[in-house]
Order: sequence, then C-alpha cells, then structure tokens
Amino acid sequence: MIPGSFEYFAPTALDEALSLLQEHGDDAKVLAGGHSLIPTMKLRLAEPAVIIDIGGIGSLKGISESDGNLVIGALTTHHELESSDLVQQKVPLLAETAAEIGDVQVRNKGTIGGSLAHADPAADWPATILALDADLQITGPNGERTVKATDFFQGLYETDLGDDEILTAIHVSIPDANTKGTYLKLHQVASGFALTGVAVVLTKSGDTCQSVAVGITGVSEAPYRASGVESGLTGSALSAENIAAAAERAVDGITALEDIHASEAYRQNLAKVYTRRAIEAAAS
Amino acid sequence: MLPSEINLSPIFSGDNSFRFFVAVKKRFCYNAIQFKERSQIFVRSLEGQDVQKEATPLAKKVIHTTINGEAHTHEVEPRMLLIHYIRDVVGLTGSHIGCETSLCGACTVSVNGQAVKSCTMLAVQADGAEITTIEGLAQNGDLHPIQEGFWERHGLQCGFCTPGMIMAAHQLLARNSNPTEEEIRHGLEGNLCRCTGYQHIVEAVQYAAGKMQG
Ligand SMILES: Cc1cc2nc3c(=O)[nH]c(=O)nc-3n(C[C@H](O)[C@H](O)[C@H](O)COP(=O)(O)OP(=O)(O)OC[C@H]3O[C@@H](n4cnc5c(N)ncnc54)[C@H](O)[C@@H]3O)c2cc1C
Ligand code: FES
Ligand code: FES
Repeated sequence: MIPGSFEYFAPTALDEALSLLQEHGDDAKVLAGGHSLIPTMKLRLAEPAVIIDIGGIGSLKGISESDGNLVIGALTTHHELESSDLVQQKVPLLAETAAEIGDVQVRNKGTIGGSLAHADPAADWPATILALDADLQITGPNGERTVKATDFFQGLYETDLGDDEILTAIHVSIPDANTKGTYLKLHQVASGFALTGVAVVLTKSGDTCQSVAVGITGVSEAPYRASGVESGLTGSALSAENIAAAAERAVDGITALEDIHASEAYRQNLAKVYTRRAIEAAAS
Repeated sequence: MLPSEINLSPIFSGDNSFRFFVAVKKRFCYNAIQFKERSQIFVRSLEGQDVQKEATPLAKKVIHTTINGEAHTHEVEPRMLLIHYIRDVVGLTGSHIGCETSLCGACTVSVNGQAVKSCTMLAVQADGAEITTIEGLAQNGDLHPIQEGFWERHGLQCGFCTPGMIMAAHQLLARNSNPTEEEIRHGLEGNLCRCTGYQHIVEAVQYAAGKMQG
C-alpha cells in the first residue's frame, strides 16, 4: 500500500501554494493533515501527479477571537480544537464535536479544513459547522471570498470549493449565554465515522425555543440543515411532546443513504431519534 | 481490482457501491486525461504492443529528522511513508506495520510530541521533525515506566501491538498524568490488540501512571 509517484512541494506561504495550484491545475492536490488523502492515495483511488503540502503555511493555523467571532485556521487540528481553552469557553460545541472524531492519532493530524474540503458524507465537522451557521473563508486566483456553510456542501464529496482554491479559515459567531449546543453521534463500530451525527444549536427564551439550528451528517449524500425541525420548533414551548413532534421531521425532503452499514429506513429512524435526543440535551 | 472488491469502509464512511467509487474518483482528480491514457496503455498491452515504460522516478527530496535524539539526513522519494522511512531507511524496526490502513496503531510514533500513525504520513512531511519511536523510550538501559508497566502487568502476549500501544500510552500520560480507567481506554482507542483483551494493557498504563507520579 504505497502511493503512486508524485512531485512534492511544501510552500510556506499561501500565495506560493495558490500559484502552484494554478500552475499544476487538475494534476495537483493540496495536502493538509493527510488523513483522508493519504489513505486514498495508498489505495490508488487518487494518483495526483503533484502534491502541494500546505502543512507549513503558518497563516492557516491557530484559533483567535475577533469581533464576536472565533476564527479557526483551516489547518487547525481536531486535537487543537478539542483541547483549546478558548474554544471550550466560547463555543464548547466545537470541542465536543472534535472529541468525537476518529481516535487520538487521527485527531492529532487531521484538520478541520481538510475535513470540510473532503466532505465525506459521514464526517462530523459538517453537521456542527452547519448548525453554527459558520462562514467559510476561501482564497483563489481571483482573491478572497466567503461562503456560508449552508451553500458549501453540494453532494457526495462535492463542495463549492474550486480546484484552484484553498479553504483558509472558518468563522463562527460566538453564541450568547442563552444559546446551547450539542453534538450527538452514533459511531459506525469499525470506522468510527458517523452513522448519524446531529448538531443542535438552540437559543431559549424562558422555556420557549427562540431559535434552533439542526445540522445532520451521515444520513444523506451531503450534510444538511433539517429545516422542517427548525421551523417546527421555533416559537414553541420546549416540552417533550413538541421536541418529539419536531424531530419527526428530521428527514423531510431528504433521501437517506442505504449501504452495507445501515438501511435507508434505519438511517431515517436514527436521524429522528438522535435529533430528538440532541434537542433535549440542548434544551435541558 | 473491481470496485466491488474494494472494502473502503475502514477509512471512508461509505460502502462499496459503484456510485461511491465513482464519487471518490471524481473527487480525487483521477481526471479524464489520466483515465484515457491508462485505458490506452491497457489496450495496447492486451494487443501485445509496446507498453509505455513507467515514468522515470520523480525527484527525491532531502529530509532532516531527529529520531530518538540522533540527527539523520536522507534523500527519499516523496511518496515514501514515514513508517517505511523509520524501518527501512533508518533501520529502527521496533515500530510495526499492522493494517497499513490507519486503523491498528501498531505504527504509532511521536512526531514533535504528537502520537501519529506513521503509515498515514509521508516521510517528507516529517522534514525537520523530532521523532520518538519505541526504541527511544528506555534510558541508559532502564526501561521507561510504561515499558516496565507492560512487563509487570503482562500487558502483552505476542507483542505485535506493543510498540504502538506504548507510544499511544506515552501520549496519553503526557496529556493526563492521572487518567481514569475510562480515560485510558478512550486514549488507546486508536490501537488494536488481538491477544490481551486490553485489561492488562489498562493495568500496565495504571502502573506506569502511578510510577511516573512517584
Ligand atoms: C482511521 C481514521 C478514522 C477517522 N474517523 C473519522 C471520524 O470519525 N469522523 C470524521 O469526521 N473524520 C474521520 N476521519 C477523517 C479525518 O477527520 C481527516 O482528518 C479529515 O477528513 C481530512 O482532514 P485532513 O487534514 O487529514 O485532510 P487531507 O487528507 O490532507 O485532505 C483531504 C482533502 O481535502 C483537501 N484539502 C485539505 N485541506 C484543504 C484546504 N485547506 N483547502 C482546500 N482543500 C483542502 C485535500 O486536497 C484533499 O482532497 C478519520 C480518518 C482516519 C484515517
Ligand atoms: S499500520 Fe498504521 S495504523 Fe495499522
Ligand atoms: S499482544 Fe498480540 S496484538 Fe497485542
């Protein structure tokens, strides 16, 4: 299990990486933590002629606070997000999600940017990033642009990211004190990926649901916001009955995946049950 | 290999369906041109014509590493995996290759203080890194407390998983010097053992934690 041959570049600046991408076009792949790309290359499912290792670009690393936002560099590892004091104080949902990914070694290498760009249908980050309504900052030959998480994921391994673009940072607005987040996941036992993962961000006013955002991964070809659940619960009292009724809409308009791990009906049921439990946890 | 014969589930979430296979291919720049060239080579080989020679190997890259305190400089192919570099180039065969698919943890080494599966990292990514392997733990012939724990508490049977298990335990205790049993099990999740049933491994780590705290 050895990757095919490739030419290797290790730029230390974003500009340099972008011009390498321009130059090599379709033949090139960006390498971040390598924990999706290298396994794919070992299986020869991917045989890029050129690898552009962005691991040495300092400006893509680190977590900071700015104007009520957490700004997370694309190269920030799952472990850094799991263990950061700033993240735990400001948006604990991010740390909670990171802790659910793979194992210690995977979290030490894998990056949030790599996970979002890769867009595995059962990756954990997409659910949480959707529920937090994050903005993704992308740089390409025509400069910088920002995309809402809701517009970023487009299908099985498909995102809004162009071949010549690099995801540079994720902006998450820091929720107020009345807002609570939860991420709840059923691990597929062999791979650890999400058979279903539900992220909920809920704002309460008294016992009423002022607003709720629900991001779901693992169920469909692309992660999605469960808008039926959201509209069903917003403005209602957070009673067990109301939560259960809203959660029933977790797969409205969605085609659930069917594969060797789970049938379509099982995934639909999981989505509803995990949505209900995640909302209950966020409401408690 | 036909798509249906590949089981991707350990490292991808998906199943073996053709739809999934095509999506992965599409996503990972297995572009049309490459595909066309390859199919032509394949057809020519079936027809007994000259098959295009393998392209000349691409430029090697010089890397500098410090492994267990010793500096190394080598020229390596960019595609060489870190585990192969450590075992075959540097000659430190304590780190094992189990699954080759990022799942078993037998290849775990520490790179700049972070436990990583060295079968899922390129040697060139470790350029400039400080690496510790199982061989680097004992000092002056004295076993490291974690190694001693595995000895005292029978944390191994065949020993194949042990180097990786110990390096993962090393990471765990560096981050949490007094872990609960649950934290130990969670911290060793990335490492598989086919012999012990894990109980003795957990006890070995508990022994080491006690000893390291003095
Ligand atoms: C054993 C194992 C278990 C795992 N379990 C889980 C799990 O439970 N949940 C989960 O969510 N994930 C899991 N993963 C996947 C892991 O989280 C990966 O780290 C992640 O999917 C990819 O991040 P990376 O930094 O390793 O990216 P890479 O592998 O380096 O890159 C992945 C893809 O994204 C592109 N890319 C990377 N960074 C950028 C960027 N900044 N801009 C543009 N394109 C970019 C690359 O070109 C490539 O196509 C697991 C992986 C392994 C090996
Ligand atoms: S050989 Fe690296 S994880 Fe199994
Ligand atoms: S001791 Fe044999 S695999 Fe762990």
